[in-house]
Amino acid sequence: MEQQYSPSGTVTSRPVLTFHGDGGTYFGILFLNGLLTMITLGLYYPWAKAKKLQYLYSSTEMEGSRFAWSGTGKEMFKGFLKAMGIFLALIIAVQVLAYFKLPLIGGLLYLAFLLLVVPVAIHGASRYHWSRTSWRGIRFGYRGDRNEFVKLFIKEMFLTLITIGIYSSWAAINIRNYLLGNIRFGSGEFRYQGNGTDYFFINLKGYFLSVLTLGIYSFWWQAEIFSYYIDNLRLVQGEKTFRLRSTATGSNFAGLLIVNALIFIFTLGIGYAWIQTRTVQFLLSHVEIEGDVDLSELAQTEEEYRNATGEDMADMLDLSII
Amino acid sequence: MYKGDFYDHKVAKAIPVTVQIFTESLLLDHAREGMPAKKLQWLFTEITVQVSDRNFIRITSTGDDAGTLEVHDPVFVETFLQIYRHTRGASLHELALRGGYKVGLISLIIVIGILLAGHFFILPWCADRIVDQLPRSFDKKIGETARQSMLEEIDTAGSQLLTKFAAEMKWDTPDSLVFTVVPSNIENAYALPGGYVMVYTGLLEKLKTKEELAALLSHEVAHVAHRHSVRKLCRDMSTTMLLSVVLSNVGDATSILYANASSIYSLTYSRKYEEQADITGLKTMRSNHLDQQGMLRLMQELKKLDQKIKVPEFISTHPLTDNRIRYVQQDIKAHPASAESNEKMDALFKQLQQRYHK
Repeated sequence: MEQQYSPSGTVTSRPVLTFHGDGGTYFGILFLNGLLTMITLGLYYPWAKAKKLQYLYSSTEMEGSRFAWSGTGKEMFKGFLKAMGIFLALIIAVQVLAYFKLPLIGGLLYLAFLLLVVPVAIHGASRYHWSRTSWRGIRFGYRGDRNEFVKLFIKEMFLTLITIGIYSSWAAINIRNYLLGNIRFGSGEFRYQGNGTDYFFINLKGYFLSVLTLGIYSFWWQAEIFSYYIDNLRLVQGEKTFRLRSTATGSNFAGLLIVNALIFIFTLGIGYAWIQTRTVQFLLSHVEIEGDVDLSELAQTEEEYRNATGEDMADMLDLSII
Repeated sequence: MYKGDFYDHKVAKAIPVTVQIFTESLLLDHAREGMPAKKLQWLFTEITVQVSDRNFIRITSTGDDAGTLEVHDPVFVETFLQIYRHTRGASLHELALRGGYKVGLISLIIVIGILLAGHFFILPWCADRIVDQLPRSFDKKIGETARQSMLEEIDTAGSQLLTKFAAEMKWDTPDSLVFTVVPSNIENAYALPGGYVMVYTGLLEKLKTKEELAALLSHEVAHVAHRHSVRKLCRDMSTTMLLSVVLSNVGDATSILYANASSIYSLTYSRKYEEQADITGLKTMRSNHLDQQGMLRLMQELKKLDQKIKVPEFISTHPLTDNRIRYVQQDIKAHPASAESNEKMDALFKQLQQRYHK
């Protein structure tokens, strides 16, 4: 950690994120997970996921201390059963309505469910996921309000739908602002200030230039999106702020993604573990943090939240949030 | 004494501590300036352990002095786990974490070993038992379906002659046999499950004696009697099933590779089956008092055809003809039998010959 005194007298520091995971160990974990999941006909999945996340988090270091994932297979298995129960109840309800010759109501119920279940799953997954993430014993947390988020989500989806997708850039950023802005790191608060218009033009430019350059520009597009995600993120504690900045360029991304593709092709997919560890390493090493927050002053404020139903629902719907 | 960092779960401050390992507990000791050292004792029953790799361990206490200890020290990780595991037992997962890629590699090899054993020994054995349980009517149905889908032209008069010729022989199979002549230049014959024996005129016109034709029919009927096609079908199906279970999430490239490898391997099934059909065919010849040399002459005839197209044994379905001639000769030597003349068969063969010889 470098320290320097700025003219105003506050201490500026630059904590560095490093990733210690190695592809070989990660391969062993994934392989064992896959084997056990197969033998148990999928029932091992929650435990497999816990082991994987534990490894990835524990291999990430900031200021000499590693992040921790404290979620357990048991919690996620309970969540999995609840999520299954909810889906089963829906299927039964739709079937019963169809049996009583009311398929229209069944269909509407199904649509309403889908519209509600996605934001509810995102909300639940965020609460669980962040509550189980910690650093130096200080938990992260998600303080979003469920009803507020469901309303926001439905509104944004509706606007996206009636503008035939043009609004999707604004929708994505508004949802991102809400989700990231409600993340707490102990007494520290994350803020994300994105702007749909900027994001729209990044995507518009990225799309056309990628088409014109036969895809070559897509690496630079990727780098711009990444830096848009990172540069607008801040951690605030009281009067103090950490700013984040991406140092990844398009050519960095090209190097990463091309080598990843080559590893994937030449190992017939077995190199997946190495691809993931390389990618995490790349992303973390291209984030620069700078500001006057004193990390050792972050205090425990977030409660434990052990209900993994949302996390499992998000998995079943194949939503990747974090 | 080991060095570690302690976190009290109240603020994100790293407190350096020294750690001592006892048989049932850990003792954490942190010296504070100007104050007596504070000691924490964590019983193994009140802690949860997260091993990340061989260099890093995180121990969380759930007891009265809740907190987290993190130690970056391979010696500590190993020593602590040896004592702790004594009370808890080791897990496979831990092995993977500390052994790195080696554990993954070893388990990969074991799994591949199990799969290979499954493919080469267990599955074929199971498939054969399944076939033994299937009724013969199943073969018949498959045979009928196959025959209908192939839509081959039939030489009715020739087929009648061939049927009469075959009726002169005793067949050792419960299936009802149907003999058919198909007009075509292809020099081949084949049998469908359920007893459908098809002979192409291209091969028929190459045969010079009734014994050769009898040998050919004996060979094809042996395939039917041993239910070779159904066996092969069951083996292929069980392999496909095993594969789809194993490779469902590995990716298409691997399964395509495997499917090709499997088809090459299933050719050797066929070769084993061909040999069995040859030997059983000879038995049929003997029980019908036909000259076993007919089989040899048939082989020599086939050898002439073979010489037109050279196929390496590796990818050929039939064992190379020289090979076949060798074991047929050996079998004839081992089972000498007398031959009787059969005028009716002679006459029928003559009629066939007149019909097809140019």
